[in-house]
Amino acid sequence: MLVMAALMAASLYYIIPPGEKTRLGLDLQGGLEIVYTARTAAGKPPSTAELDQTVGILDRRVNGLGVTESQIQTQGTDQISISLPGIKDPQQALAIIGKTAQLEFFKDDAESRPVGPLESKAAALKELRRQGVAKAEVEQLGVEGTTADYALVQSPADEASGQPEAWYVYRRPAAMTGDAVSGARAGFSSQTSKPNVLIEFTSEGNKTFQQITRELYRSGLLKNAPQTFAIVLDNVMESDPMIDYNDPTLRDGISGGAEISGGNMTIQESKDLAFVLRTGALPVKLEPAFQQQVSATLGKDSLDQGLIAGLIGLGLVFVYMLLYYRFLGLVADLALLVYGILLWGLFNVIPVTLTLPGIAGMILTIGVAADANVVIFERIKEEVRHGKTVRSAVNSGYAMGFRTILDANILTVLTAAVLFVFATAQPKGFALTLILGVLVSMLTAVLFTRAMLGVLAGFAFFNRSAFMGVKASQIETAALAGGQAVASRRRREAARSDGDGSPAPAAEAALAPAPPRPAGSAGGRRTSTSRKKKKRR
Amino acid sequence: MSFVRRLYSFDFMGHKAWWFTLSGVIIAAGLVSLFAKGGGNPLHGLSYGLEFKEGTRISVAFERQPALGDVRRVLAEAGYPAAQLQETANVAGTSQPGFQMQTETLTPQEQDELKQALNDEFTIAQRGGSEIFALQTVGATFGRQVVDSSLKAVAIALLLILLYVTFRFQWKFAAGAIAAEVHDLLIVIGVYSLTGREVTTATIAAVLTIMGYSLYDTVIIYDRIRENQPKLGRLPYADMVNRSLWETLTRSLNTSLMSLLPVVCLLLFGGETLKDFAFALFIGIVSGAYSTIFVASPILTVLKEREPQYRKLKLAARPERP
Repeated sequence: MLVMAALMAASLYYIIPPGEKTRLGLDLQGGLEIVYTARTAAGKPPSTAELDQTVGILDRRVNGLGVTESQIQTQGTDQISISLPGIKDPQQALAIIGKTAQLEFFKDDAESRPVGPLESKAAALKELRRQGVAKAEVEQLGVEGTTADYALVQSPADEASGQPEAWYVYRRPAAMTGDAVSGARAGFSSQTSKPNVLIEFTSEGNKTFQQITRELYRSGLLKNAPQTFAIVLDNVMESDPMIDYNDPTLRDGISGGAEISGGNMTIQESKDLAFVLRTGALPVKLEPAFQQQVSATLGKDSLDQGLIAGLIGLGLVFVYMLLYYRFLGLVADLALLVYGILLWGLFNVIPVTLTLPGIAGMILTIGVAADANVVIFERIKEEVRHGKTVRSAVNSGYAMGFRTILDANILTVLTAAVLFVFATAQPKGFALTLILGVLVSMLTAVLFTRAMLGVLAGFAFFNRSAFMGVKASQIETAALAGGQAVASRRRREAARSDGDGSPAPAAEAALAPAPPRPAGSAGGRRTSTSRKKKKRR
Repeated sequence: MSFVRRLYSFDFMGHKAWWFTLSGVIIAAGLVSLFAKGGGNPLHGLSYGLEFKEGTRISVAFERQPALGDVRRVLAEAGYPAAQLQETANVAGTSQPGFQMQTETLTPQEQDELKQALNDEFTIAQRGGSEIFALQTVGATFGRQVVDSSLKAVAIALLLILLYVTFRFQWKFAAGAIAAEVHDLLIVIGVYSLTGREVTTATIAAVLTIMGYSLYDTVIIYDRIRENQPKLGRLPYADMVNRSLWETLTRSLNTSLMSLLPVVCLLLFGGETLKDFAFALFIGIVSGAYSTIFVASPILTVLKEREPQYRKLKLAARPERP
């Protein structure tokens, strides 16, 4: 009882004030849920290390979004699920999270750029095929955008300068990649005062970049034409700066960083890009397998409907238990209340994110919790009918009933656990609430129902069979009723001998405060029923 | 009242041929429907929800409900003339009228552009400071994955149930339980195929849960049979099972009723997703209550009556049976 009181107090502490301490899933408070399938550049499933690395990077990106209750989980061997409850701008989040952010620097000479500029993707691929590259490789390039040896790059149309869309194929590996980047920040171009992103290199990266630009300066001098290089992010050309061979300050190459001016970025876009570059490139490509976006209003409506349905269900169970089991029903209803408070408290403590399927799971466990009481009470009633005193019936009935409940609940938990392991995101919440609900209902049955019954059995007023919903006429005859319905005399004898075998009914009945009616009258009524039955046959 | 009393002395085991036939007919109807609708592949005999179909689904309400044709025009102008469009009286469970549209899979940018186009033309409705707008995108392999992992989960759950019931009771009890389990699964799937009701991920979760939960009353009766076995060892097995059923009938029916009450409330008052759960749970619980009495127990009896000691008792009792 003390343990129970302590648990209740703790639960209430975690519940009050209601509505503030419960963690709601994104289907209830609005938000964004995405499941990505990860693929390597070659289109193969990723290794465990690559997947872990990806989760790490995604974690940094999601944290940067400022969503407090975000969750990132791997699913199976190649999927990652991300949930962002309560997020304000899902589109921005999608743009940031899913970006591979593969940054590559290519020189724009014939050697490193075999194809382009051409007006369409198809034309670029066709040209590459004409140059004698294997058909399979060209097809893969068309689908994946990159192969081990080539990268298909798009330069989007620029409305401001009137430049049309253009397509290129570059030879990989690139002169430099995002590995050489140590930092990035959003800023404004000194020439055009448009938003841009400034990239800082590692010391190694700085040397490479300086070398590339020096070579470009020299070949510009030799060819007497300005040379350019391309900064490519996820197969899109962000900028292609020109190295002016007439500017002698560039003689030794450029050091100290590079600038992505990329067309007409908004300030927000430049900030997002700098952020993504800072978190680093994903080792894999992420393809959205499932995405769900719920606005806060829709979430609120679902929550209200679930709660109303749950409360009505709980109310009906309350009334039924009270009507059917009378005083015991009251104990059961109290137990249900205790159960509800404990479960709610537990949810807040862990904390479990409550989703719509989770609510369904909780409502189902109302039934499970009530079931435990039904089984125990039926058992107690049975013992009372066998003629036991209420007090001893409570003890033995509880013990016997609990064993049954244990087996039944273990099976429920087993299957829910299988569901939890195998299911995708949504049903997982359902399985978890079901498991917790069953466990808490067992706890309530052990700590509360038994204690209550124990205490009540100590009071004299409780020792009346009517409290159990057992009519006096049913006492003691029940053991015989089964036997009498079987028509054969031998079987009836067998049943009687069983009745004798159970704890001496006559002696127990004498102790009971409300003695049963004369066995003859009740038994006689029963016999006539079974006789009727015999005739019908 | 007399019907109820008759129920408590009804010879359930004596009529097992009838129960097997009844279950067989219902299951057969379901299977026929599955195969007929699926064109030979029973997995295709169900109508899967949009969650399983590749593409992007948008549910949205506008400030003033525009004509269907106008929305279709905007969709076509945005580049999606082939999109499916449907008018709904309540968007995703709200009382707001609106539209549901399904296009091919959209990239985040395309999603944004389409939403913008719809907002520019009709103005997306707002309530409580947020838009009435929901979006769901499903990749090509997602549906297949869900179905695959569910089938795996069913197989493993069945195996665990088999092991546990064998461990706690006996393999013959387990056989009865598994038969009841498979019976329930086939009934639920059959009902879904026959009614053409949409199968969602919620449905699948509910069905998997039912697997564990529908054993609740089976365990109650098994427990009683196990208890009665030594006490009533001289009775033919079928009679002993009958008595165990009568003795536990009230609590079996009450436990099922206790779970059905909240589930029915969900079915009546819950939102879309909750209704999906509740429907599958409802069929499962009803079928579970039925299969305990009419599948698990009779199969246990049939298996047990093959044992020499119970065969003797059965033969000895037979001449007296009318």
